[in-house]
Amino acid sequence: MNTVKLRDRSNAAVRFTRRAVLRGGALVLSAAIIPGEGHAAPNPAKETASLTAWVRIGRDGSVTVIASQSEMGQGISTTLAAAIADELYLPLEKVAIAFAPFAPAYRDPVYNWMFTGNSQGTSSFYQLMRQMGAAAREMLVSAAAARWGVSVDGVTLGNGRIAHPDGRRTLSFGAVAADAAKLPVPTAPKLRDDPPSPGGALRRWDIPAKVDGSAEFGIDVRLPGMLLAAVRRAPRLGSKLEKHDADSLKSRPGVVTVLEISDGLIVVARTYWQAKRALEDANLVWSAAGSEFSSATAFDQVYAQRLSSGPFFTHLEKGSASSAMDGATKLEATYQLPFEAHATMEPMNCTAHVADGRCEIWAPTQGVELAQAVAAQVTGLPPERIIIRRTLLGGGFGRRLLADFVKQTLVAAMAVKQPVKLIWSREEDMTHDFYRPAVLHRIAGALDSSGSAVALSHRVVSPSQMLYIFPRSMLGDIKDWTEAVAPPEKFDTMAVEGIIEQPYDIANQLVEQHRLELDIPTSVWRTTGHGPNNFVLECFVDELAAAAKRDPVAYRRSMLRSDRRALNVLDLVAVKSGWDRRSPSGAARGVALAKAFGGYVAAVAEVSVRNSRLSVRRLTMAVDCGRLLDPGIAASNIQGGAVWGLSAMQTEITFERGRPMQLNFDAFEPLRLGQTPAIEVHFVASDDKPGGTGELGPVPVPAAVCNAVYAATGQRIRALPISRAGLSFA
Amino acid sequence: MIKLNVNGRAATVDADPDTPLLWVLREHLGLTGTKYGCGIAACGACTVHVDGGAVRSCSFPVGEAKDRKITTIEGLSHNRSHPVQKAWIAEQVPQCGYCQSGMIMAVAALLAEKPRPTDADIDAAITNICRCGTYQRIRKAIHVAAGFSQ
Repeated sequence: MNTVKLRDRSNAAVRFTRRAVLRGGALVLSAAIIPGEGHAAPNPAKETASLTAWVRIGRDGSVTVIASQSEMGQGISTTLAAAIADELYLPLEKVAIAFAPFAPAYRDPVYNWMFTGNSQGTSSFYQLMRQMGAAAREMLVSAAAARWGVSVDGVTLGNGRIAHPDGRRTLSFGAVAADAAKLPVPTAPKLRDDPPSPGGALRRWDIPAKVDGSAEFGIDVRLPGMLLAAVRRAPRLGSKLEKHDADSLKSRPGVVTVLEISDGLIVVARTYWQAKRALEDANLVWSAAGSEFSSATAFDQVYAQRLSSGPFFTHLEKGSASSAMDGATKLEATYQLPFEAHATMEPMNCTAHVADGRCEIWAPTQGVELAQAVAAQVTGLPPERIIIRRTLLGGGFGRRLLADFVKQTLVAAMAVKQPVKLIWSREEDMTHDFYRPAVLHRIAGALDSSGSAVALSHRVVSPSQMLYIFPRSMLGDIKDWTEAVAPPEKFDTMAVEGIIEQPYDIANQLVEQHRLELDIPTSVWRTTGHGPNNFVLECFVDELAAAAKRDPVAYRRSMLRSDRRALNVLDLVAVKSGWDRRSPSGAARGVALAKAFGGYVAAVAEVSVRNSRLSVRRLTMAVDCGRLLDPGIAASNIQGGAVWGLSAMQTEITFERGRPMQLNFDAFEPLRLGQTPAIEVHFVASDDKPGGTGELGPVPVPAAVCNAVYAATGQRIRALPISRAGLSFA
Repeated sequence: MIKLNVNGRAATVDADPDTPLLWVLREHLGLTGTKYGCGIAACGACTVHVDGGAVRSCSFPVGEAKDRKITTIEGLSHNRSHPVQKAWIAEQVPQCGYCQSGMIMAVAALLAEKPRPTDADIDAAITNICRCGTYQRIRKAIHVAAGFSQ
């Protein structure tokens, strides 16, 4: 594993702080709106005019807005397109949406890197999209005013037309678009002060195509002359392909060619089934050497050993936790969470055509810039000869930030010089994931005589989640951008997020991490560190409340004097769940609170446990995600997120001598409909900056459920999945 | 050569009879609305109708589909007019959408058999996996679709 220093860039550290705000907004704005900046700006066909990098207007008046953010079900492409459409006084249904290829204009301004993730699409782009829509509107107005020889004052927009101050004459957008595109982009456009009443639920643009089978995901791409490829890599991580029977493979029906890669084989055939079957029947011999990692013993051995011996990096030190612990009532517990697979419903796939000094890629990707850079490295082509066309994504959850599957596809496409679509089997997808790392925590708290926590000491053993996704532009020269690179530890904070900025008033805090190096690939997974860390923190706060003999909600309230937003969601969830009323017979409730992804969420779970069967009867969620841009999309993200949180209580990936043991949905079983409780979502009225909802929902759910199990049975669950506690979901 | 009846049309495909129906639909007939999710009939993303019943096409050899009536998501209706599709739009069910063709086909088969399913009927019949977790809206939309059908 490489460790590199950050490139010496003037404000690199500021850029990389996870909570970094949009500083110098005007500067960012001007950088983001240079029309056609970069080599791969959206199709500047003659019949369309580009007003900023974000709005294209056809001569017929049609309006296309450009989406930087990938659509994987989180609804971001609707929310951001609507922001632009609003500024053009157009209903969302009147604009087309196109996904941008890579260009610097489409980078996330916080990280200066083009990607979709970290639940920051809204916070990074919403205001920018309003500004871009307003800039396009002012350009149209200026062009129309010039045509008429009048001042811009009193020129208005409506129904896709521009109206003269005389109230009679109008021009279509298309009639002035070419003139407008020649104007300088306003650097401080005035936003509408009368935007359509915010808070209405939008009809998502992508839904009709998702109910009739016409939505195009990566796996659906079809090109003339396209071949299909299947891949098989070592079932044991770290093993290499030693031998294979290439000749007999090549004689299989439909097989066009067989390509060796470092740890496996790609078969290219006329159809995918032919390629897959040939590979399944192939006699592949793997090297005896490979990873020795076994998860069953890892917690007791390597994790426990590092937990006691370190070394540790101190992420937070406030007051003195150790001296506050002296003589106080002290509580200590260890918690552990397993490896998890992303298991997107659409397995990894990509389509590419490399020919005539040009590379075209069709990919369901969250990581456009990484894919572009990797394509340049693999093909040796200059960036301007590479274009990435994005499809819809059948789930992402962080997995599609990576470009390993793009690289594989390019290897095949370069070999056959024809378009190739490469599809992973589900087994490949689960065997060669970049897993949510297993973690071991030791958490200790000290209580004063009233039972309030005066010290919290938190030690985490966790592999990095940023090895493959830390923005490569921030790093030095690396030959292969798909390889693991460990960022400096002070920027590698995902392992401790949610605990270094927890909301409780606790005077003395210490948060340390041992960054464990494993030969198991690990990366970000929906909720990143927030999910596992909240499970530990909120279960432990519940332990403190029990030790103090206090009600779990009242106890939390007493330590939230300085965090209004945390208090709001906690109070709302208590009211909506009927916390102060008795639970129904046979049921008990548990609560958890989280501050994550620019917002707050609290959950109350109502459960019953009978014969080791855990039944979650009801989940009540209260959310403050800042100003609510779309209650429909936000609620679906929170509800679906809660399902993700419940799933993560019953799934895990285990390893035996480097082999992932769960290869398909028969062994790695996400929650199903019949196990899903009623999930109520309530929003706090908030004027705070919009935060993300994509990853917020799952965060407090496992702790709320486990705290309810304690209330019901007295059993503390300190390790997931719940099967370790002898439980399963009813 | 295998003769098939897909979405009311006759089709002849040159495929090995043990090829899963899923891949024949997607690759030979270009009907890509039916999705590959697991290949072992565990997730339901590939659900289609064979003679009106829900079948997980990833594990259904095309040879067995010969002379039987196959319906895919593309053939469920014209213009998204099937009650399940209408309910799915009304309730804004899909998120990423990848599992939804299979969900809709599974639900359409359920409603054909039980026009007014109870929650327990739904729990038992709809075992498809949705990783986005749209289950709550799916349940509601099934009841809405049942209302449309009356």
